[in-house]
Amino acid sequence: MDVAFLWQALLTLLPGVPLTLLLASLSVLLGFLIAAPVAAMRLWGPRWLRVLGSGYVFAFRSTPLLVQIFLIYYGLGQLESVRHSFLWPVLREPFWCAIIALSLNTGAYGSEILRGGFLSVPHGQIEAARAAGMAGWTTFRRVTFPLAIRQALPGYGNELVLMVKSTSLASIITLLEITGLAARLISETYRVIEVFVVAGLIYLALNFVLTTCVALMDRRLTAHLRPVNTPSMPGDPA
Amino acid sequence: MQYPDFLALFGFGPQGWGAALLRGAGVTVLLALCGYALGTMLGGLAAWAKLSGRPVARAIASTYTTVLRGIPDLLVIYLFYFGGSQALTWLMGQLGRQGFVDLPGFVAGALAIGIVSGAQHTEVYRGAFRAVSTGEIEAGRAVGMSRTTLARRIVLPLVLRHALPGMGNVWQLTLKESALVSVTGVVELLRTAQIGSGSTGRPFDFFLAAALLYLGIASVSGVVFHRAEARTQRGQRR
Amino acid sequence: MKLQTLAAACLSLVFGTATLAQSPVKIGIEGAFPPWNALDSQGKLSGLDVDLITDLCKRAALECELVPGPWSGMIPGLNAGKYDAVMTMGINDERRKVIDFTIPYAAGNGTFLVPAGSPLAALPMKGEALNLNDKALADPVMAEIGEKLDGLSVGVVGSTSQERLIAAYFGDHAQVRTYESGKMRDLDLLSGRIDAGFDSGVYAAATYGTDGSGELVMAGPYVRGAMLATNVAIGLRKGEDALREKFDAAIRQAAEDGTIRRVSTQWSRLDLTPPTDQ
Repeated sequence: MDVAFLWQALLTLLPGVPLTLLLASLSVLLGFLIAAPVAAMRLWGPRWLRVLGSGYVFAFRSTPLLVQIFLIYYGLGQLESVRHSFLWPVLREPFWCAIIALSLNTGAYGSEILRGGFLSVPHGQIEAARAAGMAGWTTFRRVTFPLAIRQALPGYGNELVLMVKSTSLASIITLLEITGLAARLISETYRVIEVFVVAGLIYLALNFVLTTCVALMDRRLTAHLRPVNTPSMPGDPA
Repeated sequence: MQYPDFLALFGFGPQGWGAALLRGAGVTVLLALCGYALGTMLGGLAAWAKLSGRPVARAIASTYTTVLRGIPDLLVIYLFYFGGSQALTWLMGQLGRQGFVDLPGFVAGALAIGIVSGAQHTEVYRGAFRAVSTGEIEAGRAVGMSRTTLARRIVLPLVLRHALPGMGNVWQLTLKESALVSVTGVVELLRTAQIGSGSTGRPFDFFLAAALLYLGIASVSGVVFHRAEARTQRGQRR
Repeated sequence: MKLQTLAAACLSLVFGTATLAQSPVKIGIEGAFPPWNALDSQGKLSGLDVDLITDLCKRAALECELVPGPWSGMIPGLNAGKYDAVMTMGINDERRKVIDFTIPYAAGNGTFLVPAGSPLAALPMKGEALNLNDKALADPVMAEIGEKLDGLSVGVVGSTSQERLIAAYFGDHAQVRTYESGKMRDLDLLSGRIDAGFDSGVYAAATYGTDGSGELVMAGPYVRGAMLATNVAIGLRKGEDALREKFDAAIRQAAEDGTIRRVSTQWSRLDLTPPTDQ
């Protein structure tokens, strides 16, 4: 067990963590901004919007993320019309191509999670809001949306963990996040197993922290669902 | 430069890549099937370990699912590809066989996919088992069924009914993971598209064709699982 | 039932292929590096390496099996037993620490690759040979190139000595971008994502021609020396002396009777016969 090398590998790979976290969090954020309207479209939109939304979700959930990344990075780079357009300065950079691919991907999954969240809002709450005189948009803003978000939180927390894992694919389009740095270290030292094991441990640590944070947030938001601790008298049933 | 037209590029002639892409799609499906089969077995084993209540078994199964849901699939595949041969050589060495034993890319890929999908299957089976109402099991015992008969005629069919949607989901995930095996050189669908795009300089065409093929496979799988779900839901009020 | 049969089939595949590992010599070849090697739409390997190794194996009376795989996995795969020999392995000191080499079977060089019409096409010493070990001559030229590359991006293939060279000499001036294969790098070069590439001169000459009329053109000198692994040999595991001697003898014969000249001229239009002072 070459501890010196393992330590060296750890120090070489840790600089990739900021990029990994940036890719993951920015994609989840942008993905949410895509998912919310798409979910709304699919639930309450006219027919053509529903079909469009369903088509988008189907396409991005049924094809591998790596294919999506290649299509956006190399594929769009082939098209002359794209290269001469105003989008090129953005699409030229592998960072933005990765963000676009990851966001579109998590947007599709996120819209399913949010759709489930919206559908789970008890109808009684909406009726009560209407009875209180709230207009449609106000009801959405003050009742439906917050309740849906709280319901969707575990699912979205899972999405964030999945996104952190998915960022490793960005290494294939030359980005130097954790996996990219690992590949470079291996090409210099030829020590494959040790480097990938260290990389795996870093991802595990990241995901452990993330899962814990999400669980904590979930606990705070669902405090009202847990039984209240009342002191019991002797003789009370347990 | 003269670009060959679409039909010549993807047709089945000597210059055409149609046959190669379909062959790649076949390898993809075979890879996914092998991995999925392994995953159902591992998942069943780990779910049984988690549900059995025995602390050691539970701990091992929990570590398995936590580790595999926390590391990127790409790293698992790399580790199996590079580490698999070393592990097998060591194992064979212990059993008295000298010399190297190689783990071909396809096998390493299928094993990696199997291990990852096993972790996903565990959660599906665990949830499905919990969903079986205790009333059914009690009724079976009351009628005098032995433990094996109970398992075979009551528990397993009910678990299957509850697990099937989740299993369908895991299949779709497995199909997409198979694309990652392309990094080890196995010539499945994505690798074929990469070779083609490098050879002809037309990544957009090839990656789009690959995406469409993945969509096709996913659609057909979806229909198959839907039919299976409908059969197991016979007689259920929806 | 069906799942069980499928599982049984897969498991027997594992152990069946594992026990088969005895006889043939497994030769690792990338399949994405013309004219040395390439994979066609039928999945068949072809190229300079393929023709040469077929000839060498016949001379050495060995049964050889060609196994394609990613370049970055060649040396790890060799040491793990996936391959018994790997082709197109340039000789340099860094690699000598982990693997052994036969005598070289071809001599190449490194060159810059830029889009036609790029200002970088005017890099100094165009088309001339430059040996980096001749520091008096080479250092000022490399410094000048470094200035021209300031702030630009250079694409290289991962796990190559070209990658190490660019990182060492120009890592401070230019952004080094690492790709899985030369083809993927060229796609980005053509679309303008990177400003230049650095790769084997043999690859560049065979793919884009030497007269400057292709979409990508060679620029600057033909570089050798330092950590560039331009003498191409077969890589072997450390200690495989018997196998090495068989291949060495075969390579010497192939060089002497002109086979290497014939095969290399056929594939790359250049005679790559290595110098016989080994």
